[in-house]
Amino acid sequence: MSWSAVLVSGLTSGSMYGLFATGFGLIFSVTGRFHYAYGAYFALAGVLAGWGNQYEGWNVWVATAIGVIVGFAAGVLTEVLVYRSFDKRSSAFSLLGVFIASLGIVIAVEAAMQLWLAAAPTYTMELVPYTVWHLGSVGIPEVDVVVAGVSWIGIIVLSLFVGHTTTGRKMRAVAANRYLATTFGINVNRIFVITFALGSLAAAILGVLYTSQYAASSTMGDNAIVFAFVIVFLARSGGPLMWGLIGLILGVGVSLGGQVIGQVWEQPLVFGVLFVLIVSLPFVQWFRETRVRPARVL
Amino acid sequence: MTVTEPAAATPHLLSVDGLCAGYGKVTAIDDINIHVDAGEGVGIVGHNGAGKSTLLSAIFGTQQIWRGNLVFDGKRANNAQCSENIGRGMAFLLADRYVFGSLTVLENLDIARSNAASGEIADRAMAKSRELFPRIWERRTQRADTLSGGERRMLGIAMVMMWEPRLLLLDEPSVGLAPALVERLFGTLSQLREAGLAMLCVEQNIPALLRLVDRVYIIRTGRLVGEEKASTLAKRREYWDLVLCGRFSTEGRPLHVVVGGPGKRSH
Repeated sequence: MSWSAVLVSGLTSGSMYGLFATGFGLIFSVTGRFHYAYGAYFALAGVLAGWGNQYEGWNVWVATAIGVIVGFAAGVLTEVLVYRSFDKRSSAFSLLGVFIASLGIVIAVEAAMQLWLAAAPTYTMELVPYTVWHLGSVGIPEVDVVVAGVSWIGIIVLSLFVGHTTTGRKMRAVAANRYLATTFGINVNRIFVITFALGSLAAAILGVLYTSQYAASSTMGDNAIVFAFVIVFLARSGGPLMWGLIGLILGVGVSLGGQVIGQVWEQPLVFGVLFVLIVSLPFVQWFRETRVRPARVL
Repeated sequence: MTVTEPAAATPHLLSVDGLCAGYGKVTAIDDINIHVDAGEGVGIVGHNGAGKSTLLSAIFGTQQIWRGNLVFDGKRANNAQCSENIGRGMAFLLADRYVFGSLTVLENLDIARSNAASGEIADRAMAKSRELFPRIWERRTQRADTLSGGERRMLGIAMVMMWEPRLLLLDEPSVGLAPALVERLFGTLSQLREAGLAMLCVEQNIPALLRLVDRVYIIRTGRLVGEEKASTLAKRREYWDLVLCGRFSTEGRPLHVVVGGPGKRSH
């Protein structure tokens, strides 16, 4: 694979990681829920659309619509029917309860996909015709352009929504202080549902696009959620644009790194970076603190 | 010892009868009977953990009421949603973290504005807040967490004034503020009171509180143990017994002691 092709691939996958992390990051920062099932719903949307198109003869647009609607609805219903019930208990239990429930959903959804949609290990569909655009000597598949374009449109729309609409401001208010938001008359449950709706929609659209670009499998969300987690961790309190930018950098980095050390090592590379960062952060903090010298006592 | 007279026949703006609330199985407040009339300033004092903040939370709807009756503006308001209470003319300023630090001043005001009864009311309140708090308005594009403690308090007041409330619940407004800022803050609150806003204020700075309110309720271990006029209490030289032991004396005259007194806290 040429370096230019690797770069194009990295930019495309990085854009995708960016939007995927934006959806996950919004849910995590606004609701405080570690929605691990986010990856499973991304896979569900893609697998359902691919399976319907490939084996049930659904029109490509019908398959796309069904995949997106099911992935979107699954995310929203998970918040309303599962996670919300943990809120009535203590906050510590709620965090753990949501995470455990989320893990259970991942196992159940992946098993269901393997059982009921067992026609093939992977599914694909041609949402975007496979044509290649040429920029000088560099060939860019049209599907890559569409995926990157949709991803960045999604990131920018979400960024504008969160930054410049009343609902977006309420989302940030809830993220800042949920109790205070309640005293200002904000319906926190409604904001949670809106946040899950936005995040789930992003994941579902990406799931279908992924099926068109590569091939969908029931476990494709497992890798994606790791990337989203790493991006949100790296960006800390950053918003959609920051998540998008870090996703892009990570995508290019992983793609170029994979070219050098082999694709098998892409994910260990990401985990390695995350591990180094987590381990080094306390030392960085300690170094900063020791540089602050106390005032001299005369 | 004088027993508190039964509630007057005229309807109060806020009427709390036999209110009981708590956390888990622990009763935080029990059998609380208080009232606030329109335009009246009422204070609540008591030791730490007496249940003062819980009482305000229960009135505003952020704390579940177990028993009792809460009537605001002639309508039953037990466990009403905060947004309903705001719509009826009630507002609540918390003791700490009363603004959204990661949002700008304007965005904070916009959050409050979205709950105003009408755009006209919000515009009027916004104009008034520019007049009352010019410094806040100068910093409208700054993040709220870059403001000083006093400015954040002012912003919090400007936010709740966006709803033109008739009753303002204040939970320790002076906490964390320098003495000069406390004076300024209570000056602003007095201006609002003179404009007809009723207040129910929990406060540890009793001299400042007595300049703001007309009456004071004393709470001890979750029970209402006394009620007195602010002007009577203001004649004292010290107030430690109000918040510490629950035995009161005002220049030889006893406080109005509420029937019941401190009791066991269990549920």
